Amino acid sequence: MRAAVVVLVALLAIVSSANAQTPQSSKDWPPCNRCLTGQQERDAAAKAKTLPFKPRDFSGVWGLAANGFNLDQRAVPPMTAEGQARYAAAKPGLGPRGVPLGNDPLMICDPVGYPRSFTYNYGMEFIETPGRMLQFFEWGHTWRTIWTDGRALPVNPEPRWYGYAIGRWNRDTFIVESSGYEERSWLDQDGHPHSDQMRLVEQYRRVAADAMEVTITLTDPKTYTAPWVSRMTLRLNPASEIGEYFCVPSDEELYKKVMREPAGGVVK
Amino acid sequence: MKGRNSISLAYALAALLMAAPARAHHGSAASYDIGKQTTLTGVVTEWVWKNPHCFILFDVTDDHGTVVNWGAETHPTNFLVRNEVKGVPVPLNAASFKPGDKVTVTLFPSRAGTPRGLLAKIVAADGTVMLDDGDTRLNRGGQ
Repeated sequence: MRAAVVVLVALLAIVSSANAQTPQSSKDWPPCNRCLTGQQERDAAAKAKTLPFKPRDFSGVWGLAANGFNLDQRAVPPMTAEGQARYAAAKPGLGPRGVPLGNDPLMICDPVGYPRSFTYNYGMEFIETPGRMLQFFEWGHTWRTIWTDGRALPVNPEPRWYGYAIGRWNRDTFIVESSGYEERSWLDQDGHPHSDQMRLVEQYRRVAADAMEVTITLTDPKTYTAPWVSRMTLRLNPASEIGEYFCVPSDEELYKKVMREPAGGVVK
Repeated sequence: MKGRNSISLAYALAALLMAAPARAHHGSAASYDIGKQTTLTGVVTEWVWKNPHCFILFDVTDDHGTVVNWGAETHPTNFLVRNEVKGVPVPLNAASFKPGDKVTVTLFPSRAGTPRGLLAKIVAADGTVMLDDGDTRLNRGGQ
C-alpha cells in the first residue's frame, strides 16, 4: 500500500511538472518591452531558474545583446582559397581584425542573414504553429520559417538571406537542417564568409526552464575544408518581449556622416 | 549528476561568452582609443535618438573662446530605454537632453584626433549621472 502511494505521488509530481506553465510572458511579469529595471530582470531570471519546464516548449524570448555569443572562433576550420580571399576582403569594425570604418554589410543596412541573426541576437523568440516553427528576431524585426510538416529541403533553392529550413524532433532535441543561403552576409562580426553552398544543422535542446543548449554545424565546401561546429547556451529572458530594431538607411547615413566617418578620420 | 555537471559547465561557458562582442557594430569600435578618457564640459547642440547608435553633440569652448562641436556616441535606443547607473534606473529617451543643456561628458576619444568619442559617462548640470558605462566598455574592449 505504501509503495502504491509513493508511486501515485511520484506520478502526480510528474504530471504536475509536465503541465506547469513555462515562464515566458505577461502571465508572470508585466507585458512591457524592455521597461523593467535591471534588478527586475535579474529577479525574473532568478525566478525562472526555479520553475519546471516542458522540454519541447521553446516559447519565449531567448538571448538578448547582453547574452551575445558567437560561432566558436577557436574552432574555425581551415579555409579554401576562395574562403581565404573573401575573409581577407572583409574589414570588420570591431574585434581583433577591427579597423576604423570597415565594410561590414550591416553598415549599409544589408540584411543580417542567418546564422548571424541568431548569434548576434538582440533577442530571438520561438513561436510554434502547426507545420512550422518560427524564429522572430529583434534585429531587423524579421523572422525565419522552419518547416515541420515533413517536407524535404528544395534541391536547387533560390538563395535567400535566411535560407530555407526544415525541422523535426528527435526525442526532446529539435533538429533543423537548412540550405539555400545568400552568400553576401557575414557569419559573424569578424567577417567570416560563407557561400551559397552553406548548409547548417542546428540542434536545440532545452535543459532547464531558463536554458537551452544549441549546437550549430556548418558545412560549406566552397569556403571551409571541414565542418565548423559551435556550441552555445541560450538563456531565457522571461521578462522581455521582442523589440524593434531596424537598420534605417536614412538614420544610418546620418550616423555615418556625423559620427562614424569623422571618428574614423574622414574629414570632408 | 553527470547531466547536472554538463549543465553547470554550459552555464559557465555561457557566462564567459557573455563578454563576447554584442554592440558597437557599425564600424565604430576600432575608431576609439579605449586606453584614454577625456572629460569635457559643454552645451548640448543635439541629442540624436536614433539607431544604429544614439549620439550627443555639444559645444565646448576653450580658454581662448574657440568653440568646437564634439560628438559622443553610445548604445542603440533599445538598450538605453533600460539604462541604469550603479543599479539605479535612469532610462533615457529622445527628450533626455535638449539643446542648451549643460553637460559634462567623459569619452574615449577618436584615434584620429577628431572631436568625436565613445561615450563613457555623462553628467547633467544638476549633477545627475545620466549614463556611466565606461567600465563596461573597458571590460568589453571598447565594444
